[in-house]
Amino acid sequence: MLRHTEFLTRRLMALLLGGLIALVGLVQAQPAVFSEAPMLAERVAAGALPPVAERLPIPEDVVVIEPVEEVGQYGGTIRTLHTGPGMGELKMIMYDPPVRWNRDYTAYIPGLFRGWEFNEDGTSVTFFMRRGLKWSDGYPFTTEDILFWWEDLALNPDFGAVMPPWWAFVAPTPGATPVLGTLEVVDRYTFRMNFAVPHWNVPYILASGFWNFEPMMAPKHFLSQFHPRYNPAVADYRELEIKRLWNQTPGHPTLFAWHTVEYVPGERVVFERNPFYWKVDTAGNQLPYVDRLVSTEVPEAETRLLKIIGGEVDLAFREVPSPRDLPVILDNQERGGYRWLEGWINGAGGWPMLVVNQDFVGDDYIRTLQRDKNFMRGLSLSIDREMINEAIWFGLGTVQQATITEQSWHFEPPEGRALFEEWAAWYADLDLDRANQYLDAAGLDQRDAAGWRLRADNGQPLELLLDIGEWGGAEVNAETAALLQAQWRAVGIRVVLNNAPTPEIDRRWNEGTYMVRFVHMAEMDLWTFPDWIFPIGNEVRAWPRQALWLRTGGAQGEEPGEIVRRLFELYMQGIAIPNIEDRHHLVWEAIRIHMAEGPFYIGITAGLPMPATANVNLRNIPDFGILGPWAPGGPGNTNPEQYFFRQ
Amino acid sequence: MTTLIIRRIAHMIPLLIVISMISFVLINLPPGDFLTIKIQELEARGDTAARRTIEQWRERFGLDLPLYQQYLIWVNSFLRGDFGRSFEFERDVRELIGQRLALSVTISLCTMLFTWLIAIPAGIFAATRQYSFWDQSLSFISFIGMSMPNFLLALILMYVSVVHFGWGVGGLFSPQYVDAPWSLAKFVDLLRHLWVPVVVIGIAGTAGLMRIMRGNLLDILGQQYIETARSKGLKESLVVYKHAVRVAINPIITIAGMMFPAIIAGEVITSVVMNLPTIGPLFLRALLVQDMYLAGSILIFLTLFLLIGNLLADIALGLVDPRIRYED
Repeated sequence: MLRHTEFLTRRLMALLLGGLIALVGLVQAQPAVFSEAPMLAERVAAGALPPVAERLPIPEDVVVIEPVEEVGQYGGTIRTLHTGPGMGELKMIMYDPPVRWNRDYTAYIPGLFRGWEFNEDGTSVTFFMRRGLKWSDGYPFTTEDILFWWEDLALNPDFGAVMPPWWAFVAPTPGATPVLGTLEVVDRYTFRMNFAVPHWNVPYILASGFWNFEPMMAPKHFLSQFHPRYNPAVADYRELEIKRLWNQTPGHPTLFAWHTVEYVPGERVVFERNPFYWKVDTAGNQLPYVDRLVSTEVPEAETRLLKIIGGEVDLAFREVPSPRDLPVILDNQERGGYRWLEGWINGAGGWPMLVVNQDFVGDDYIRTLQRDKNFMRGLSLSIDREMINEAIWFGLGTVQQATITEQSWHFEPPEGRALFEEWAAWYADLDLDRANQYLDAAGLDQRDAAGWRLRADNGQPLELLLDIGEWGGAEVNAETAALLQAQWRAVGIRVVLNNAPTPEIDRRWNEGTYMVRFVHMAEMDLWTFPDWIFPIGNEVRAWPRQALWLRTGGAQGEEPGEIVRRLFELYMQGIAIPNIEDRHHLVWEAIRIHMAEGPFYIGITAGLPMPATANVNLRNIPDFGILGPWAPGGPGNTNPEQYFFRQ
Repeated sequence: MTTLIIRRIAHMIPLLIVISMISFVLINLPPGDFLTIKIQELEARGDTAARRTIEQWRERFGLDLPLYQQYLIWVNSFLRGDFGRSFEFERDVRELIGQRLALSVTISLCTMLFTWLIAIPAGIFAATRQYSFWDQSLSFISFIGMSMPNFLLALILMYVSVVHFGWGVGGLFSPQYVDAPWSLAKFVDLLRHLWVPVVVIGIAGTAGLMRIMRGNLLDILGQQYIETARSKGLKESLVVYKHAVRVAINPIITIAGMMFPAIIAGEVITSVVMNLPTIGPLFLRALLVQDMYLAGSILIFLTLFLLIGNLLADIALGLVDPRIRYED
C-alpha cells in the first residue's frame, strides 16, 4: 500500500491533472474532482482505503460514463437470480472485457484496455492497458498478470483448467493445423501478440460476451499462493482449479464493478462494490452506484417466475427465458413493485425457425431434393406465419423470413437496410398456389390417392423428418411442429415428427443425418460469429459435411460445392480487411447468395419482446436492449454500473 | 432381536454395492456425457468457443476412461470418504452434499411425523363414525390428495401464497437466519417455513394412510372379541383405543417403512419446485447434466437412508407387536 505522504502528493497531482481533456475514444469533459460512495468514504476516513483519486487510474485513463437518464445516487442492493453455478446471467451484467460493444450496438470501443494497434499487415497487435488501473484489492493490474495467465495457466501443460485461448491459434493456410501465436510484454502496461498470418479479428473476439476474456482475468498476487510454481507448499493444482473461479471465491480480486464477498454453493452469491473500479460518471462520482448484488440460484424456471412476480427480484433479464410468460409478468407489476422493461427484445432473426440440411447423409434423392431451391421455397411459401405467431407468441413476434438480427450493424448503412428488408420478405408470404408450383417444379408433382406428394425416384410418399429438439425451447418447437405438420399437409407434404432426446438430436445434427430441424438464430456481428452465413467450419449449420471438410483441411467430410466455396471465399476476403466496418459489403454479398440459392433457413417469427424486469426505483436502464445473442454483451454493454436506486 | 439387526446391517452392504453399480450404469446410459451436455448449454447461449475448450477437458475429468474404470476410481475414493468431484460445481461432492443431506433428512422425518399425526387420528375418527358426514368429507379430501401430483400442489400453493397472500416463496429460512449459527430462534424459523413443503410432500401419503387406517380399524371393529369387550360393559373409547387400535396399528408401521421411497422421491421433486436448499435440486441438476459423481453419491445416500428407515420400521414393529418374534 502507498504511504500517506504519497497520497497527498498524488492527490495534488490528480487535482492539477483534473482539468485535462477526455480519454481515448470518448469525447467527454474530464471531471475535475472525484467523489465516492458513502460506504467507501467511511473507510477512507478510517484510513483503511486510499482516497478516491488514488484508487482510480491516471486521470486520462479513467473511463467516464454518461448516465442514461441522470447522475445517480449511491446505495442499495440489487437482488437478482441465476440458474446455475456458472452464473452466466451475472457475468453478463459485469461485462468489462478489454474491448467492448458500445451502448447502442453500433461499434466496438475500448473497454478495460485503453486501446489496441495493429502493425501494417495485421500479424501483430499491441494492447495498451490503462495505467494505474488496480484490482479490487488495490494491487495494480499490469502485464505481470497477463504474463501469469499466459505462461503459468494457459500454456502450462500441467494445468488443464485453462487452455491456450482458441482465438490465439491461426491456420497458416485454410484447413492446415492452427498455430498458436506468441505473447510478449513490452512494458508495464503494454503487451503484444504475434501471429503467423494476419489476424485482425482478435480485438473483436475479446469483446464477445465474457467467456473469451474471463480466463485472462488472473490476479497473479492472489492466485500464485495456490500455484505450485510459486508456492512450494502447494502440491498440486486441485485448489487452484477452484480458487480461480472468481465468482465462487470470496476475496478473489476482480476488475469489474463488483467483487465476490460471499458464496454458498447451489444457493447464493453476494457481490460488493469494487473500491478500485476505474469508471466515473460525468460528475466525477466513482461508479458503481449500487453497493451490492445479491443473487439466488434458482434452477427451476417456474420458481424464478414466481419470485419475480412476488417482488423478490430487482433486476432480471434472461431469468425468464420466454415471451410466453409476459402475461403473468404484466399482470403482477404493481403487486411485485417492478416494471416490465418494454423495448428489450430477444433480437432473434428466427425463433422458431428451421434449417434444411444441405448435406443429407444416407439418401441421395433427399439430398438432391433438399438442395433444390424450388423445394425450400415451396416449403417456405406454405407456412402460415401469422397463425403460428398468434398461437405460439400471442402475436408478439414479427413475421418474417429467417435473417440474422435486424439490429445488426451490418444493416446500418442504407444499402444494408434495404437488403435486410428484402431478405426478411424473401418467400415469406403465405401463397399456396405458388407453393404448389414450386413443389411441383422440385419433382414432387405426383401425388397418391391420399394427396401426399410422391418421391420422384421410387414413387413412395415423401416423408419429411422434422427434428424437434430443445434449441429455442422444447415447448415452442413442439407446438410449432404440430402446426407445421398441419400446414404442410395442405400442400401434400407428409411430416414425421422426431421428438428424440437432445443428445440424439445433436448427434444427427453433427453427422448430417437430420433432414429439417428447429434452431434459434440471433447474431449481430458475423465476423466474430460467422457460422450462420459463412460456413467456415466451426459449427455445423446447414452444411455439416462440407463444413467438416473445411474444418479438417480436407481430412473428413465432403469437398465443398460451388455455394459453400463462394461463401468461404467471401469470408476469407473479409477477415483480411483490417477495419471491421469496411467488411459489410462482403456480408451483403453472402446474404445475396443465401437468398439466390435458398432459403436454407426457413424462418417463421423474429424479434420478440423479452420479459425483462426491473424494480420501479431502479433507474438508468436504457429503453432498448438485445438479449438473444450473448456476444454483444447485453445487458452489460448498457453499463449496469450506472444503474441506481432512486430514493 | 440383536442378531436380526446385525444380520440386516450386514445385508445392507452388498445391497449398496449392487445399487451403486446399477446407478452408475443408469446415470451414464444417455448417449454422451457431462461434457457433451455442457457444450450444448454453452453453445445455446452463443459461446462458439465452447466445443474447442471443453473437448480438451475430457481427459482432465477422466471421461475418456472406460466406464468400469471410472466406477472403480470412484468406489476407491468413496471408501476413504472422498466422494469425488462435481463436474458442474468443480468442487468436492462432500462439500456440496453436507448440509443439504441433513435438511433433506429433517424434512423427510417431519413429513413422516406429520403423516402419522394426521392420518392415524383421522382414520380412527372416520372409522368410528362410518358413513357419517365427517367420514365422507375426509374420504373426499383424501381422494383429492392422493390423486394430485405433489409438484402441482407445490406450484399451486406457491402461486396462491405469492399472488394472494404476498408471502415469499422458496427457501427454508428467513433472510436473517440463513447464515446465522443454529439457535432456538433459527429452529423456530425453520419450522415456520417447513410446514409448506411438509404439507405438500405429505398430503398424498397422509391421505393414503388415513384410508388404510380406516379400513383396518373397520375390519377389526367387526371382530368378535370387540363385541365381547363391548358386552363386558367396557367404555367405548377403551374398546376402540386399547383393543382395536392397538391391533390395527401394526400393519400401519409396516406400511410406514414402505412409504419411505415415496417421501424421499416426493421430497426431491417438491424441493426442486420450491427451491429448497436440500438434496432435491442438486440431484435433479446432476442427473440432467450427467454429473455422475454427484448424482451417484446422492443416490447412495438416499438408498442408505431408505434401508435404515426400513430397518427401523421392522424393529419398531417387533417392539410394538407382541405376536411377532423374529427367529434367532
